[in-house]
Amino acid sequence: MVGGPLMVNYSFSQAGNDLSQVAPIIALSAALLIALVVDLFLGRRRAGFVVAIIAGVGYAVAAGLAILLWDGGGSAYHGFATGDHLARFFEVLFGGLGVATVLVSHGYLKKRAMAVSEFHIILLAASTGMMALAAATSLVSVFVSLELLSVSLYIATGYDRSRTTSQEAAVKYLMVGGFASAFLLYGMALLYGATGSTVLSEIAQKATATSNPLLMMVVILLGAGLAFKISGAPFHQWTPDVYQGAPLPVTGFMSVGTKAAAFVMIIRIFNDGLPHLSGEWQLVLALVAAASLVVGNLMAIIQTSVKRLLAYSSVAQAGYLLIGVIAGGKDGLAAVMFYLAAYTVMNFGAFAILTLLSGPHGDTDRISDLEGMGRRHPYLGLLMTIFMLSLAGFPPSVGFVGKLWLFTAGVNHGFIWLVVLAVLASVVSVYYYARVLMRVWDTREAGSAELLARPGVVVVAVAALAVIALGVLPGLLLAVSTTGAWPPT
Amino acid sequence: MLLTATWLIPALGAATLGFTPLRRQAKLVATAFTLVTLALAIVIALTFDVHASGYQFVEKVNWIGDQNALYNVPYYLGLDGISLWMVVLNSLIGVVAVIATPANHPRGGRFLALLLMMQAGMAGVFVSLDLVLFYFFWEAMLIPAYFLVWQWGEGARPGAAAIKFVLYTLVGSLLMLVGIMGEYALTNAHSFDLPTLVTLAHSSRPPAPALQFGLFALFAAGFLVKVPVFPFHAWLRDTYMTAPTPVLLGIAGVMGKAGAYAMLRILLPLFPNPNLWWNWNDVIPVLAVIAIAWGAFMALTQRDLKALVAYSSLSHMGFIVLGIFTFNAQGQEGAVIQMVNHGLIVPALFLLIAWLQQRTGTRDRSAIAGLAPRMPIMAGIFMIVALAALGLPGLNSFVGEFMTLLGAWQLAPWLAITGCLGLILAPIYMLRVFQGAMYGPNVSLDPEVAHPDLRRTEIALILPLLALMFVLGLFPNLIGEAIAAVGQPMPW
Repeated sequence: MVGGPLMVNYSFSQAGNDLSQVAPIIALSAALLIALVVDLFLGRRRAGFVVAIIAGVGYAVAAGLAILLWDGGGSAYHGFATGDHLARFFEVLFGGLGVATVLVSHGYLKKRAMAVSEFHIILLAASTGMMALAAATSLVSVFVSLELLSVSLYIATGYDRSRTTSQEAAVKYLMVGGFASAFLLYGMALLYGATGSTVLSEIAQKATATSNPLLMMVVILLGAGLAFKISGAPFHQWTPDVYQGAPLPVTGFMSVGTKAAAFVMIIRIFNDGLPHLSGEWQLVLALVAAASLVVGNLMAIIQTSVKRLLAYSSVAQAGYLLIGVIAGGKDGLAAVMFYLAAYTVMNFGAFAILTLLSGPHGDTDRISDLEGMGRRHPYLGLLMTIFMLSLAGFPPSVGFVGKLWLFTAGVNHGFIWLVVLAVLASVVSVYYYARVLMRVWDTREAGSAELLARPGVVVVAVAALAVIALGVLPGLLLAVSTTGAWPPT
Repeated sequence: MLLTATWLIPALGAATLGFTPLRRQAKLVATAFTLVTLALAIVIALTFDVHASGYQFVEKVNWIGDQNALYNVPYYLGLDGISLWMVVLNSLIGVVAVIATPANHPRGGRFLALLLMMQAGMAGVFVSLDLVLFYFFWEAMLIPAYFLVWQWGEGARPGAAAIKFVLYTLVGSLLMLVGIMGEYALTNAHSFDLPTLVTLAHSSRPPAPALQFGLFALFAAGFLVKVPVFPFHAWLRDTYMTAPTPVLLGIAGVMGKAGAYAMLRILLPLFPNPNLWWNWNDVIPVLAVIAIAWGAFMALTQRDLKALVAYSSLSHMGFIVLGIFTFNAQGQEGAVIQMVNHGLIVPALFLLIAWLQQRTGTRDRSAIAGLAPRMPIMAGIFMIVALAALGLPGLNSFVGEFMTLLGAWQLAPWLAITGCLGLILAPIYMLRVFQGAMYGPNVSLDPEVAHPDLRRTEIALILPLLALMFVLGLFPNLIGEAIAAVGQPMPW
């Protein structure tokens, strides 16, 4: 809670310290402002290229700052934000995601004749929101960052203005996202009412009475709102429509970015803010996880659109991730962080391949569009195979190791029924990931190879290499994830 | 380093073939890689100390994390008298499978690359002493097998057969994965290290029988499907019918053994007392005996030769599992001997069937007849293999099956008596095939075939297998002696 007397003592050294805690976010905001101004003064053609470079540099600088300032993080701005390892981990992840998105989207925007500079500016704003969400430790800063992220993504979803599907998706996303925000805000208001504070560490000390009906309402409302954001069933209905309507680079960006940011938010609010109500929110999240596993994996089977298939797959993946959150503890949270990094690499890689293959007339969407791809582009087919096998959780990919940590944490903390359900659900998932591969390696059709944008190909190749390398040698990523996790109080 | 090389050399071979545009030379390169692996396996076998106890050629380094990390998973390899024979068998069948691949196979380079990948995965399974590493290799052998069956499979719908194979085995192996996690977390061992876990299981404070019961079921799910044991064999027929011959040599000859090997290496040592509602150790032998009888009866009814051998294979794998679960020296020694024997006989049978099909254009038992006068060499070789398969004394299979049944008798006489049914039915279906195909009225051959009898290359390919059938039949102690050098205490 911001108090009057505290403001008086705000010294320059304090200000410097606070700034260093949020330096990556500041760097990204600066890049956003510079990009806005540059876009005003340069011509349309040149502005696009320059803004793309500014965005790329901004992401790289933000990620670099997060690595430089890795240690020595702590609370800043009276508990409103933090620069701890958890925040730094995701700042690096989002910085890398930003660079990859800039590289992948470049050729796509040119091919589809979309405005370039606005695209990067919107995604810069969304990324700023994501990073701020990772660092936010007060209900106020959490909500403000979430809205920055969400509003940017509503616009990004409708970026393909010539298509009604894109606009429809944007409106749907806005409406449903608004609902979710309302749930969250209501929950936060009640939480403030129950504890008299918006700072999560203070809430943790005060929200101890498990019998308080107000706090029960809080858990349910926050659980529902957060489930919307991570697209957990039964609050996942927007996901397939939005994934399908949004332009491919946006879908790829938000499928991993929003999910990661929302999971940090869950960890911060539930694990940090409400440790004494863990029994209650574990139950709520376990129900969401079980529903997501079943609904996501079963619905994905019958899809004929790759985007919708990956949307339902992302619902299912939310289910796997929730197991780690529910398990909690150092192993559970480290597993969540590990798997979010893994998911970012493999899922973005899959969307990046679809982006590369999109022609000037529309996105690669139908599964049949992938027919014969392995014949036309054997190496791209191999990379797609790696991503799909990793999403399905086969060794030696990072997807397998991530699931191994998540499930081990689940078993270790006594959620065996959930782990068995998740394991059976992932058998089902193999079926639909294999369906994609069947089309990719279809032997009947071939056709001629399209020209692919070079920077995008590099990103995809690097992502696939990372999937294998982190799968064979996961030690470093595991160690880094472990530093970000902490045992619950 | 020797054990790492056993899986790394085929893996490097796969990478070489996959990423270089070799066309004509692909088979030559693949053969070279498998021959080097075989040579390595022979070196390992010759330097293996049969009088030592404990694991040999041990390699242990930190792989994921170290002592201070959240998880500490070592890269831990080792070899004992049981795994030694599996490594040798795998590298031998690897050579045979590569040479059996037709030189003009469609997309041959990739086919051979995947074949070598599968061999690498199986090699890793037989030498891992760490559960996570074991699971790594366990799945690594499945992915290439899936692509091989689907992309190069025979029949109308190879994709459907391949996905059935994968989903079936995956349900089992993912349940095994839950078992691995449970073993790690619930026994409070917090280790994936197999010798450590075995020591815990035989310590004065082993995991509770109820916990062992649950974990046994999870692990067994993976192994029973892989072998397969009745009633988990539904994938068997479709997969065998679909898989191209070189792949089938690997799947039938070695991969099934991986399941049996895992029972011996993991299931029995980790869970000596899996007892809650019932004792699992009493249930599995019954399933094995049912598999023996069921497989033999189903083999009697098949007209397609591949399907016939598939079911006879189910029956013979039943003997192996029965031997493992006798919990005495004869039975388990017989099981290991039988694993090697079956790994020699089934590939030989599938090779002969493939060659018959090339020459006659069919695998239908009733459509092939009177071949012996025109194919005397084929007839002779077929006879030896058929006699070996039905367990004629003097050929290899006899010793293993006899010891298995001897062991089973000590456990429960009725198990041995029912198991004998397999021995009685095997001559019926094997000799019926041999007589029908080789004697009787002549049928017309494919006129395109200039040289009906086996070519010299084909004879050279199958001759090592035949020679081993005789050698192991006459000197079964070659295997039996080394088995005594087990890496960890066995129940006998």
